[in-house]
Amino acid sequence: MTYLPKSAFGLLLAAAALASQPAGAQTPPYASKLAVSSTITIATTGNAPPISVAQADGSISGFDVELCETIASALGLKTSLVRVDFAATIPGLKAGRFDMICSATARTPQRLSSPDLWMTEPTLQNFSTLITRATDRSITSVEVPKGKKIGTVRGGQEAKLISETFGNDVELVTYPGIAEEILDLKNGRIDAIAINYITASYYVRANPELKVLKSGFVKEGISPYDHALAVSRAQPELLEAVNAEIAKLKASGAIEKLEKKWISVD
Amino acid sequence: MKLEFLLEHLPMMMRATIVTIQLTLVTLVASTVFAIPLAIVRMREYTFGARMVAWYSALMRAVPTLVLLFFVYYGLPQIGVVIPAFVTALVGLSLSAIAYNLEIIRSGLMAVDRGQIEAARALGVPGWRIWWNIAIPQAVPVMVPTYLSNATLVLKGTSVASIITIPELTAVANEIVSETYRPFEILLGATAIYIVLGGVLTLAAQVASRQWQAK
Repeated sequence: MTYLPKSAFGLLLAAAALASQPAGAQTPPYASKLAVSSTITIATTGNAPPISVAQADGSISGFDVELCETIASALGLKTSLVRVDFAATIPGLKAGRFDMICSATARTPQRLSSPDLWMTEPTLQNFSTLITRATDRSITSVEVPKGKKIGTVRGGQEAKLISETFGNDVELVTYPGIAEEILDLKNGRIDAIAINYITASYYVRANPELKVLKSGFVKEGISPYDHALAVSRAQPELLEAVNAEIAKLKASGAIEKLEKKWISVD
Repeated sequence: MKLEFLLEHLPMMMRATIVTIQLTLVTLVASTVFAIPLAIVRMREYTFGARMVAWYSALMRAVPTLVLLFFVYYGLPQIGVVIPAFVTALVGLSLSAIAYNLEIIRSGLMAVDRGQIEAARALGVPGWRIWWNIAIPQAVPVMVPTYLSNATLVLKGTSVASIITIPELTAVANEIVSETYRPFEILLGATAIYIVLGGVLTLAAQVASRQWQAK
């Protein structure tokens, strides 16, 4: 598409934003561009515990989810959580279905320079590693022998990490979510799962037949990495507001408290 | 729209298309081969076999293929049955395709006038000739349109295999979308491929029904 309709659309949006703003009211500029008015619509998978975790009653919670709810209430907005597969989070954000992603998104250089979204300031530190079966002695470090099958989540950063590290020496198997790959690792169809350390530790605690490698991948720009929230590219003002809240929560120790509540690694 | 995103990933999508074609063809062949005898059994009403087939067909048509695949792939290993992904997809897709095909074949055979078969029998025409020269030529034109429309459903149904790690067209298209964030171009490309494949099946239907009617 040419730039003309795009900028015309932008003008329309701006005009609509101006028109809908009551004179004298203290409405922040991002409010009129939210997917649903006075609500922040959040995409999360519920499938990356303990950062985004689906509870037994069907509700979604976790470090990122609680963080986002805290930020939203500080901004005076309601939250509406939408549960989607990880691969759908960023395309949905781009399409204007969601305002924010709170789902253990890695703050990669690729995403930071992407014209499709804004990554917020870092919220959590993490790195990519492997989960294997506890009885498997053939994989003891992230230097995986040839011919092994490694599971990753579709749309996650680990697929890229594995194919760049091992090329065709290992077979990459992609799953819709972490729960499915954990099942298949236990079933023996794959030999390892490439996954972030925090989530790995969570699963391994619940599954004594699995183990996590404590020294993970070290690769410039990929691992170790920071997690962050992602905000719609059309909402630079929302990004600023969210970043300001993250800074406040860091200063007050609230983020540290959340981390203690949700995250425990060995 | 930026078609270069699609062009750049086209080789990847073509490889996935081959997987989709393989899944479709093997499912169609397997389900047809199994459906023919089952349809004949199902036609002999009030027998035990017919009742079993009727139950099977009702059950398999009621269960979503997604649930079936999930059950076979992630569920069965709990009782020690671990089947590879591709085989699981073939078994799952075929189990439900058999149910549809056997009903289609049965309704085609039922459309043949009973009187003709009885007359042929009275004239002493051998059994295989009754099938080959009387029943099949009349049944096939009746079932071909439904069979082929079901075949396009099988083609589209292969997309369900994406949840059990099979790199078929839908899975790979979604994967590319999650890397490029360009759903419009990539999914448009995938749609075009499905339309071409579906078109081939429709064409085959037309050729086949003309062939049979010419006889």
